[in-house]
Amino acid sequence: MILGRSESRHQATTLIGRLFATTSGKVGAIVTLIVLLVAIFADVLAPYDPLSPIGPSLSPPTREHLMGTDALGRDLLSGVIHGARTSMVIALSVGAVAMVIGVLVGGISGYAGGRLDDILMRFTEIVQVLPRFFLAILAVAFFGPGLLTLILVLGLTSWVILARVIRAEVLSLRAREFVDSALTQGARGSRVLFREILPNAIPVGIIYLALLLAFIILIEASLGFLGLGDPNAISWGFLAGQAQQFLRVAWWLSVFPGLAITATVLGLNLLGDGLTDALGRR
Amino acid sequence: MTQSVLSVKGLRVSFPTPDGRARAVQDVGFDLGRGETLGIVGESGSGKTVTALSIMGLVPRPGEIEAGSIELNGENLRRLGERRLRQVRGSEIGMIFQEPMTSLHPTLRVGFQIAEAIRAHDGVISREEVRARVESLLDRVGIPDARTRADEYPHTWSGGMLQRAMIAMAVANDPDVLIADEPTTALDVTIQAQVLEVLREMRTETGAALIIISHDLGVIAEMSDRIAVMYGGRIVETGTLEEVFSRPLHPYTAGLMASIPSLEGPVGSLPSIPGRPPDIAQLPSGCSFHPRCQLAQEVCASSVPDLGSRDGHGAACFFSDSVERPVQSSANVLVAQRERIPTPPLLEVDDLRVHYKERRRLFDRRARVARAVDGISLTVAEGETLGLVGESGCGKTTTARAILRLVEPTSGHVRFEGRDLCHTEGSDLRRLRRDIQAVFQDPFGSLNPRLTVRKIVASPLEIQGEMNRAEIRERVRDLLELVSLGQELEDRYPAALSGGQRQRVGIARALALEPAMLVLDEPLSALDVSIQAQILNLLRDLQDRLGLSYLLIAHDLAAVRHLANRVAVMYLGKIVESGFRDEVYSHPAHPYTKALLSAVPVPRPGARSDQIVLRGDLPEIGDRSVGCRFASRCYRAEARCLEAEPELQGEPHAFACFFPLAETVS
Amino acid sequence: MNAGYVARRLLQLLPSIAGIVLVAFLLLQMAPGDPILALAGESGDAEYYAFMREKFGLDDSMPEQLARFASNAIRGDLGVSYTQGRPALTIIGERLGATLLLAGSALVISTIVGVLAGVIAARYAGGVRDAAITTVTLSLYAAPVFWIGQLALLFFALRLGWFPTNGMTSPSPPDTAFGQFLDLLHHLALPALVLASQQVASVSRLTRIGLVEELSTDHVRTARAKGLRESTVVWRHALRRALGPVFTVIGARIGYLFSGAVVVEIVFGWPGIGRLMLSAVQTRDGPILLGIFLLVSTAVVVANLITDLAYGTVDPRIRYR
Repeated sequence: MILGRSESRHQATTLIGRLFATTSGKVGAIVTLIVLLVAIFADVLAPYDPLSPIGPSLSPPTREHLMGTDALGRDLLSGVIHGARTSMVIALSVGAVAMVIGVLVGGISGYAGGRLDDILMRFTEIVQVLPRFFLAILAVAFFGPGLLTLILVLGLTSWVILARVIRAEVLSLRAREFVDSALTQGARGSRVLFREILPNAIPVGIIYLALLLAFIILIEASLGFLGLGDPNAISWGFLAGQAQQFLRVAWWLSVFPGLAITATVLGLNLLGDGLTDALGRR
Repeated sequence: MTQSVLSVKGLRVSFPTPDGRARAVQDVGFDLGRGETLGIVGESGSGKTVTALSIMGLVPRPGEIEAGSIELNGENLRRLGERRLRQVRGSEIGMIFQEPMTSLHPTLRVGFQIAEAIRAHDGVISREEVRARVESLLDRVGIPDARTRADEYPHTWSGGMLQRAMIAMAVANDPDVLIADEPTTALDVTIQAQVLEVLREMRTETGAALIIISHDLGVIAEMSDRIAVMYGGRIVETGTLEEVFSRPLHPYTAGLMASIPSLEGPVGSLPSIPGRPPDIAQLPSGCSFHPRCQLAQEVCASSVPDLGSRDGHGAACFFSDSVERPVQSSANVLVAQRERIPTPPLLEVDDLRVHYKERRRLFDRRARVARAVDGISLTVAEGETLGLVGESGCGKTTTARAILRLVEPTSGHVRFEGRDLCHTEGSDLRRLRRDIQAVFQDPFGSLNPRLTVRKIVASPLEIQGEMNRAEIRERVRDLLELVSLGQELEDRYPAALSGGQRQRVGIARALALEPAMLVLDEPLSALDVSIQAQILNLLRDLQDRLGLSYLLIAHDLAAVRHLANRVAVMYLGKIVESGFRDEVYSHPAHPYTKALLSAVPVPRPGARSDQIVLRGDLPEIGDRSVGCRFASRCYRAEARCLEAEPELQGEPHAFACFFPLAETVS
Repeated sequence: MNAGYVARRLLQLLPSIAGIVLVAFLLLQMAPGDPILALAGESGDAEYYAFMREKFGLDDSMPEQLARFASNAIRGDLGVSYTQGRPALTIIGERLGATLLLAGSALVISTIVGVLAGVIAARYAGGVRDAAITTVTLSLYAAPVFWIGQLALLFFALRLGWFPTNGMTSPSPPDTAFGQFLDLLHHLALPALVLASQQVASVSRLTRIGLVEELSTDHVRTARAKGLRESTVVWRHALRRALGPVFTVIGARIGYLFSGAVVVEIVFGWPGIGRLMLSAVQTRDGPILLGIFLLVSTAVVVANLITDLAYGTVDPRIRYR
């Protein structure tokens, strides 16, 4: 959004350069990077085993336990650090599934046009109205909780927005004169699609991918909060759900996991905004 | 001179940029007499629009008026509060903008939007009175059936009608000053003639003073009493129309006048101004024209010359006395040689048709058929240029695209050196294509933004795959040199190039495969006036050096005249007249050609004597038509024209009309 | 708007409804083990299992099962909840009112507050007010709704004691009808505001982006050049089109509101379908889960239809098509 317009967009030529020229892009990229690193190195970074009781029960934040402990005396900071991993694994897997389907459906739909486009778009409309959150709950109820179930259900229903923006881009690019030019030079369809059209369409998809990841993290957190997440993986939502019954006595159990989610989602949204600016798409 | 109604002094407007404040307008001042018309002419970025918006107090944020006064009837508008300023807007000053299609609110009725203008300045007027005034205003600007049309939404109106509505809105409260900012730039030439006529009528009826802003010296010459030439945010020359046109005192004015292709006078390479208009954010020091000026000396780079006289004829130049109007060198001899009936045709188009089924929704069976191109035959010989002209929607671009096989022709033949392009597929087609290359209109849209200049120019060579990398590198260098682009541009992306440079890259790319023929689709229309001449000259020069054939698609009749040997005029999918250039331009046979030529504003004071203003809008391309397509707008049409369609007949001067203009019948 | 347009739009509902029913059916079929276990839980008795088998034709061929399922779903007859021994639809119906009250209030609040905040941010774009609104909305947009709920509960209910912490009514409700109404509002306020907060963020973002864009269009410049008041320019000219995107996402917002409501109901002990749904997951109460899923999906589809039709009356270019 508008946390600072780009100051020096003229100078930077690479996308990364232009991204870092915007305040939101810079903040967003750094926050996202930090969360990614925490997720990757969770085992090293976490001071304690998040699952074993090692301290006093319901201790407020102290020097030993920076975020306090839960009712069983487990270290909250370690839980939050490991929660980053769960969030990232789910968000990135869902993002990958959605991106593959989105680029395929959007690219084919926009490039082929005609009947095929009509059919694919009708199909997209149907998937679009499915309420993802409720579908996920239904799946958890029928299949039992688990990472794979969540990734599949969310991934198979989250590609719609990507397909739509890619299709719109491809459609508008297909009508651009440089595509005509490539055709008059004798270029084959595949060269036109892969060299002229897709490189110009995918960056816009990436903006929406960042926003999608943020959204998936929120859905996953809500499911975790309801106790419907993977029981074998600590997640931020699960931690906050545990906090509900101790709200009167242990505010920290709610505050820190919530902060972690908010910071991550904010970071991804800012990254999306920064990319939007960097690509001159406003 | 009568007492001035509007007086602008020392106006300075700036916009913040990453590198500090850019002065969009500097030290601009003029007086506008009651009922007088001032024409402001300039290219993009010259500050003419910002000047107009400053007068209205509508400079878009973050722009800011830094200095100067704007006095309307002695009242300084810059000192007024928002409330009083609002009263001035729309009531004492009315403004007409460039883009009629986007300047009205799309979801409010046209009549309502005009009524708003009335009610904003008259709180007590009754509903019925407002309505009556709206209808009478629409009537006055020539909207037929104003009573019902007032209740329609803008999207059902044509551009010409919308601009009339804008004029109605601007004069609704009998303003003292009318400002028209490029009022006809977005319109076709025959519609432009209508709108300018309405503007003149309204000026007379209201007695308002008019400021007309345009890049088109023809429009300026036709409308103005006095003119001001703007360059780099300043007025560089001002004077009466006759004074400035007969003896320009600023080298920019002189260069501009000479570089404009015209419908009269010698045909040849145009004396163009080198370089390009400055970027407001990086104005050159001193006189901002000095880097492009042949008269420039050291003093020009260090200090800003003064405009001198404010009321009389003056120019901001230290060497006004040495300014001479460059003469167009006549290359007529050469052209005349080429006009001889040449070798067998390179390109032969035979009864080409492109019909679109307009499927408006899924499962719609009664699809309308739009006959975009409806039976076109033409030939282009080796080394020849055929100009295909017409207004928007006439099918000229679709014709070009069908020849290039970018759209599939519905029927007909396109033969190139005897081989049928329409019935060739796959790798044969890809090989055939190398001989006909294309240059497109939009110099930005025609270059892939993610590729460097080198890769763009190299891509046809890569696609055809007959050269190794080193050879390609070498060839790209030669091509860029051919179109006068420096090597330092090779690694730039299109975004870092100017419009003229981009168009040169497009031309270089089109020449990469050594084609025999180029299809030029409006190659000049997106460029600034002073750049157009450069590209025009480049195209002429390349044709001479490489023996190319051109199919030139354009709406600008004057530009076509400077490049084409033969012309074909299109109207609603058909060619209505064709022949050698001079024949068609001097002795048009078809009433449409005549009207089209007569609608083009001539950049010479008092040139206009007997203009034919066509009535009505360009009809949409319909399913089928009985009779002559032009009959609905024709001033010579008789009953027969509505019953049968005239054939294109005659050689070499052909026309499709039952009642051709008498003096031309050979 | 012509009848043909309405009819065509209605016809377009069919594939969506069919898709929803099909997805529910496939989930049921693909569930590990006998579908009866997904449908009727593991703790039912033989008589109940037999009833549900019969009801959904689980012994028939696959196409017949699908037909049976679809006809049950469309009639809203999804069988009987084993845990409560009553038809699922009846049970859902009893809880639906509370959720609709919560979600409806949040929809109204968020639309009004969101549009106002967006208008202020856009009119003073780049200024202090814009920065403040943007910061708040960006944060609200990023915060999970249960966390906002928990924080609100911690601060406004537990710390300040302004609002009750739990439920929809007081343990000992007032006697008068008006008193009961106030009591309800008192309980409703915090959860509704929390549920609205996230949507305020998205509505105001959409409004701001749309309005900033509209305010720089040619037709707004024309309106200013006519001498119209800035407020007229904003509210009549610019906002008219800027609200288009706000309109079109209402369908999607209904979906988010329902999912948000589920979570908020847990935080605030609000007796709606959210809590019903959660307990249904725990007891594997298939008819209830399917019922809620179909209900919410249909609500989204219908909301989309209504916004489309409403949009058609606003934009003449759609109306005449």
